Amino acid sequence: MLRVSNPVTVWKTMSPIRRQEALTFYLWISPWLVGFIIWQLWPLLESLWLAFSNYRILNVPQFVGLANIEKLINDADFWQSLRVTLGYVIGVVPIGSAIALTAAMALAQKLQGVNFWRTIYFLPSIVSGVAAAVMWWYVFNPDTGLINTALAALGINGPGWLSDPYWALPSVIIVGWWSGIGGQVVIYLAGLKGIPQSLYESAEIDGADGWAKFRNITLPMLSPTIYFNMVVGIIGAFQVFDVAFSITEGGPNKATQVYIYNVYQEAFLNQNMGYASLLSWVLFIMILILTLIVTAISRSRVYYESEVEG
Amino acid sequence: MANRIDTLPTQKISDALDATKPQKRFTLSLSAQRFVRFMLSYGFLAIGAIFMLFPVFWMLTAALKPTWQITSRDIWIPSFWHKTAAGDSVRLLNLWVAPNEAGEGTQDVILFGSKRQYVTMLQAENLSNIIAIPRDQVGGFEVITLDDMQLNGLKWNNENYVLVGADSDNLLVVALSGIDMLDAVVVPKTQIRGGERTDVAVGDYTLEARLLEIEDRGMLSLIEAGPNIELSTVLPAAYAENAMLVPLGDLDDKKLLPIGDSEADQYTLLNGSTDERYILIEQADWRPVIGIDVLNQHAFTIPSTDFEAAAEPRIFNNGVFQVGNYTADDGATQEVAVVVQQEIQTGANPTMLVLPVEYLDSVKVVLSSSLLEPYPVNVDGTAVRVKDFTHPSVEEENIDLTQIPDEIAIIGDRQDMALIIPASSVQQLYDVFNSDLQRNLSVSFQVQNFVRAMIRQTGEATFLTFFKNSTIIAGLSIVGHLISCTMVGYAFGRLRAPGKNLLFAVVLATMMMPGFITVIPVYRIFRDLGMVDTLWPMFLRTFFGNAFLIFLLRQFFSTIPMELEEAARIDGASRLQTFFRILLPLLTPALATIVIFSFLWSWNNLFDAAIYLNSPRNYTVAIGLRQFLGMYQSDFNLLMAAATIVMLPTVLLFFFSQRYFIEGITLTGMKG
Repeated sequence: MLRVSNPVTVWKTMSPIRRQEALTFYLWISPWLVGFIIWQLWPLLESLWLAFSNYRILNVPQFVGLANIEKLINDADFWQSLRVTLGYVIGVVPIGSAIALTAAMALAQKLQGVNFWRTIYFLPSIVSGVAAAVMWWYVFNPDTGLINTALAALGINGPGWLSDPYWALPSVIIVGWWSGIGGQVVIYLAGLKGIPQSLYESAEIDGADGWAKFRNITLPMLSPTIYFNMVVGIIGAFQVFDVAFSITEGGPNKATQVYIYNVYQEAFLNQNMGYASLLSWVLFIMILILTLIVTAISRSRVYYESEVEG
Repeated sequence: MANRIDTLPTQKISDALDATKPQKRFTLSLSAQRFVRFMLSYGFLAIGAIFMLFPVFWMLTAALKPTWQITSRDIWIPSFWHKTAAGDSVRLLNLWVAPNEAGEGTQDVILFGSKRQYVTMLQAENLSNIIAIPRDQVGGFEVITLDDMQLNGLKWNNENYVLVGADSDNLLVVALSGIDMLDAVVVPKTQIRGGERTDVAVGDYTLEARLLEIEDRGMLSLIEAGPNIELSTVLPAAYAENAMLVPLGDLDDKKLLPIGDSEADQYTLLNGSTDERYILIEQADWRPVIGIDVLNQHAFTIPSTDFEAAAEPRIFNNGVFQVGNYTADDGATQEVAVVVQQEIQTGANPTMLVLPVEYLDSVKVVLSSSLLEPYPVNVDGTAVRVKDFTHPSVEEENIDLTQIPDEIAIIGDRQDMALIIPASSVQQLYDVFNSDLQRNLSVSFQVQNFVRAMIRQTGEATFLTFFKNSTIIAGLSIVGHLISCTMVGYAFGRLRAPGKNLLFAVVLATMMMPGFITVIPVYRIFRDLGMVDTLWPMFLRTFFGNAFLIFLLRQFFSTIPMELEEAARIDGASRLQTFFRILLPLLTPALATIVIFSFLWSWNNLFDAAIYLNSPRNYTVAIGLRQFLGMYQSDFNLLMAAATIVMLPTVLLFFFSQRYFIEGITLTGMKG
């Protein structure tokens, strides 16, 4: 861990050359340091203060105590957005991760054209969120879209997808898979590549079959990567915005009123910036808690190679 | 004790089984196992690839389709619909492929206006063995096609029956096997309505029939036994060249007369011979147009009081115009035609835009439906509606654009016109099943959709403006990140100072901090700086570094051996010199990664654009595309073209620098 010692004494004991080097260091990191204070540290603290204020853009923020929290508890939009977002996170993260892992496992066994497949899977993840949303809007179009056209060819009358309150969230989840799986596949592939082949070889000598190898070698060795993908996936999924903003506008019937879109509406359409700050903090804390839970679960399950070596 | 005795034999059996296990266990050879696993892998990957690629394919094809094909579910590949000119008019008629009259092979046809409904009918007297089935015992109905005629069929006790009537509780049916199709006739619905109703007793039942005169067979009592089917009347495409465009009002003396193998309403012309009859192909709204250049050069605005109208309007190339004499202030008189009548405002003297008659030779009439979205142009003080055909849409494919100038003014009044063909010239006109009729299509990509999407006005800007803004922002973001992140990454990677580890831990911590938490205070800062609705908030922060890119660069810097730098320092190079001359060239892959990610983030940044950019002239492609959505509810092809354009730079970038993408993504994963 970091040893904290009195900076003044440290400075005094340094040679002039080391002092000059340290000064150069501070000078060179100054863009980041200044930026961190202006754009991150100060706003972080300010938003905490705004969360307990009545700030509405044009007024001077005033402390209103717990009024915003009281409003939050009685805010149907907040609870709806929380439900929708949790549904989205549950739909996107575990299933998406499982699909990505399966695809990566398939790719890892020296198939023909790994680069080709990887490109196909990865490409959607770099496509602009709006462009993807617009594309899927058309794919989901009840009358002329790809899915219902294909279903009609099979004699099935497809639902209204994004315009159907029951199907809207599943549709947004499908878009989430489409744009999220590729990045995960790449990371899983790198993780799989890092597993020493010798482990599998010795397991084969011991007579392990495919499932046993997966269960006892692949999963433990890959657990840090799975953990990473889960955490990043959760943080990303909680912030889903593009489809709700560009296509559904939270509808139909608030079925896709995701959390960040609700914050956006409160802050920039209703101009309840104080209240929106509180919403942001609530989400921040929830993500933090969820990440800690995942970390706690993974602590018993995640295997780090260094633990054995060191 | 009994238990114990019982278990012994079973124990032995299982032992025996164990002994045989190696032989009995079902095993595949190792290579077969591998084969199965590979096949499963390929199968899974292929399904995934379809999921990944098909939406993109769907978007691309839509972007290359004309509008009408978007709603045609049966056309997957962008196509061009072949057309033929209708006589000497500018109208192009769609070509269909239909069986020819003899039923051998196919030919190009044009659709003759009316579609008629037909019903298969059976001769009532020849029916026998009618059975009554209770309604509630009948499962489902299906159409049975026999000898090209369709019958209402149903299944009952695994037998096929044909529905011929009904009473209050029962359906009256005849076994399909008992029907002789020689008794069947297909009769136009219009003729059935004219037939007299009659009840025919067959066995114990009474059927509702119609008395109808059938050619070659005389008067028959017939009952409806088939579904309503639509047949289209078609004529070979070659006749289109005989087409004439006449005012609808000139058609006279409508009569339904046989022609070819069908029959059609036929007309005489008011001013023509009563023997000459014509069939009507199409009636529509047409409008006179003229090249905007002609108006700009020769048209002028006059007060209506200076115009003395002639008694009769005059016709120029089918366009009807009010003509008259205009007397100028100097007393000179010339014959002019009224081109545009100025809207009369209270208090203002009515004026009109006129054109000397000698310039009206270039007037054309075109379909009104091809003149959508005109824009106003000022011609000598009068507002004229102008249509630009430089980038035609599909609606405009209905007219031959080579016959008219690219930019035309819409003049005169709308006119009801009829497209007719002399009946005497038509030897073939016949009915075909709609299912036998297919559009004459060939694969063709409508690339001009991309151009149209780019030049379409959105508020005060076009998509080109959005593209320009996005490019500026992306460029400045790249510069900002390159400067700030190399500096900070260098410091963290190669310099020693107290507190460095703590500061680097802060860098890592901010990587995990979700961006939305600071949105409102940061918005306040930009508002106080007066930067809302400018491009500044979109790139300014890149000059202060980015945690992920700093981390990435620090890793790169740490891998370069210290000795390299020290050697240069000993040779007298300053820190900056070694940084630029020695370290940076080694870092090209890292810098490429920075360029790529900066570009990607700024190009795809929707949230900030939604917050900070309010006026279309400042929009980026991300927010601009969202704006398009509202305007293009029906023009999916243009919308998809726009979405493709937005995706294109990132996809191209990806293909040229795949390695750096993958490395960057992998690195983020590996730090976990």
